[in-house]
Amino acid sequence: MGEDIDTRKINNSFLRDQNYVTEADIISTVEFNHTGELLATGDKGGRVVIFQREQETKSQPHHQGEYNVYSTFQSHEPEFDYLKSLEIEEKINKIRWLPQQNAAHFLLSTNDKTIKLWKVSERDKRPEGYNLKDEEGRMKDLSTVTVLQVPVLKPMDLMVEVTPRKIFANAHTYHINSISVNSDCETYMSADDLRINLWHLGITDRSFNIVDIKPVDMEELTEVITAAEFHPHHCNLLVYSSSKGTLRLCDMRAAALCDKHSKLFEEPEDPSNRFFFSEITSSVSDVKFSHSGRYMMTRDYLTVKVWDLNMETKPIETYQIHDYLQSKLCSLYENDCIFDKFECAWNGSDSVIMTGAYNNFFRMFDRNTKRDVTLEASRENSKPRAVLKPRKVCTGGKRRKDEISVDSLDFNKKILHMAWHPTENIIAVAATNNLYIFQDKVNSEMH
Amino acid sequence: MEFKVEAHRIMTISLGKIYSSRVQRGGIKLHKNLLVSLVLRSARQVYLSEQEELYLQQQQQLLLAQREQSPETWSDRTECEPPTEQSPSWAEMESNISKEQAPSWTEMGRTDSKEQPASWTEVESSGYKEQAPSWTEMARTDSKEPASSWTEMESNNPEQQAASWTEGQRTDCQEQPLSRVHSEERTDRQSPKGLEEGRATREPRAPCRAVAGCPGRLVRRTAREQETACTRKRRSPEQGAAAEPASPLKRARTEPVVLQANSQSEEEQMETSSNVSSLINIFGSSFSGLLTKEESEGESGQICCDQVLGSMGSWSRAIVAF
Repeated sequence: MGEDIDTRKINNSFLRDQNYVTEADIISTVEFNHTGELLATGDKGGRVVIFQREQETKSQPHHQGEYNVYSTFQSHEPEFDYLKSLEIEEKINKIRWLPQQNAAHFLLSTNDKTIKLWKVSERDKRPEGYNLKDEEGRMKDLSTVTVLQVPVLKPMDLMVEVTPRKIFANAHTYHINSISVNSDCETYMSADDLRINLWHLGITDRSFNIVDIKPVDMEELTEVITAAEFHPHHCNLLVYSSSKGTLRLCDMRAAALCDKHSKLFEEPEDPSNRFFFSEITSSVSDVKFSHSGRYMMTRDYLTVKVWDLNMETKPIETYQIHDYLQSKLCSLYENDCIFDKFECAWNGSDSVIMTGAYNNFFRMFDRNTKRDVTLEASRENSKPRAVLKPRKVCTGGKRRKDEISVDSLDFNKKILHMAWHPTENIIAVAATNNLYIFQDKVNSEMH
Repeated sequence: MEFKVEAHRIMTISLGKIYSSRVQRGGIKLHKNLLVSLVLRSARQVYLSEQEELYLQQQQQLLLAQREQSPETWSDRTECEPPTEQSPSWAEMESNISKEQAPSWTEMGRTDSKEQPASWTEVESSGYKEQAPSWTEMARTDSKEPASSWTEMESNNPEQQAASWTEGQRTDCQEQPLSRVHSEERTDRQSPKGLEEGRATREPRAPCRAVAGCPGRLVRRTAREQETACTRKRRSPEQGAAAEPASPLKRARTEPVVLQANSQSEEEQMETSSNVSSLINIFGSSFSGLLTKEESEGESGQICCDQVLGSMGSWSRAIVAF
């Protein structure tokens, strides 16, 4: 599939031309809203940047569908927990949009400990003609007021206001890794390493604990929760993944505490492989329901697996992302790359899945045709309107031209976070501190 | 053999990661540390199984050699066994093992000065209650193994008698019923012989019942003088260590102890501490000090590094160079 590039590179670094990346600018989450009109990114510095898609106009056909900065705000600040003498990072771990119910947009953003509900609203009119105040807001001299007037709303320059509406704090002992809004649009869950809490969007002073896998004796700890998500349609179903590579589907109707799973999705491990690091590579880093709700996709270090909710014994599809790294696991362990948590994404019709890799590569797999493609998100190779060229990693033997050998992969350039537009073939890919937005114009009708 | 080297290297790296997670911003990441501890356990299993094979081979050779010796030399040999990697006394220790929990073995990992902090990890005493069954079993299979890189940590648990010993100190262990290393106060860590406790490196304190060796015996730590590299992670008791003599090794230990004392007062932190310590207990060592920041880590690390370097064997030096 041809990919047309419509690139937006957001680099807040002061020394951008020198390729200097400040850690605060590293993008840590990317999320489209439910219509795809807005795209939110969170970074390690606690900031959220919202992009809005331009409306297509006939006068500027080439600029249709471009994303421009809509609003920027500081969501979380670094905090210090005095009781534990621990610093709480301001890095935004996840952003989730709420389904839009009125003119304003709402999103949830979370760091390690605190979730915040933000209201994003536009103001393009302001009242003018106050009786007691003049235009600058100063009090009028009452003696000059002779006639009463009704203030009228006059248009003004568009102003985007972002205000914190709710702050959900002090409910997590461990680091929050996921949040997920329920399909009932009233509740949401937040998951940390050992517990999952259920919140009501309007109530901040209490939450219900629905999953708790903390052992009585911490010495017996063997697995942690790595990701969790509500089912897109069934408000009672949620899934959470573990560091052991298992998925647990829980039904909130069964019991108040969903420690006991309704379904356990686990693939028996191949005993012959991977020696020291098999436990790390089997840890699930991301789980996503398909839009249909029939399937789930999990990402572990080397593979993406698609599961059918009706079959617990094994995934229905397994895709090798970068199997050539198997021989390099030891050095990846040393440089901590083996702990990278890659995300994955479905396209709108659930026919294509996408995930990131190293060297700023990302891969797409067509589930129907079984074709896959590796693409690169880089400034050098991306010019506006240019078509992305498929890349290939040479795994052994003779390296062909245009192929990249495994040893020359840059493991500092990794694509961990990405999002796919809910209906169209537009993808947002975060490469360290840059955001790339790609659009597939050729096949936009087919998908 | 290559597996052994590889396993040792992985263990070294893992311990370094666990140590450095202490000073990371944002607190200890439970998931990552859990994974690292699993890797550490796997590597340890491989390493110990290799050690066992090696030890058995060497035992056989030793027996053959001894048979050719005269009776006098035979007795001499038994008396002054040099601190080699193979420790026949391991089996002896095994027999001496009481029901008390054995301190954990440690592994000398850090030779690179950059990685030095890895050897300064502390073990949390209060969260330490049980022995990990896997560790216990492992220890039993270790009975014949040359615990060259495994030194035992004294337990902080007052109910347990701690034995901190390296292979070279096997004889010491037998001869000197020293005061408990891990007293509650940790004020008196010195052996009657004035041996240093070798606190320079921390050892993971594993709930190793089987490999206790010399319960209640403090053995001078000569790991740093030995060729094998070990890192010691030790549980630091509450206060006493602060009163210790001003040896640099001991001083290095005191600060984490004090800090640990402060941190332990918080229940929540206890929880997190015990999380991490529990992780280690799963495979038999504890990291109480992981949760506190050590001001002195740089300095103590350097001291330990020097000593550790001195005791490095050639293949361990390869790790340094790496």
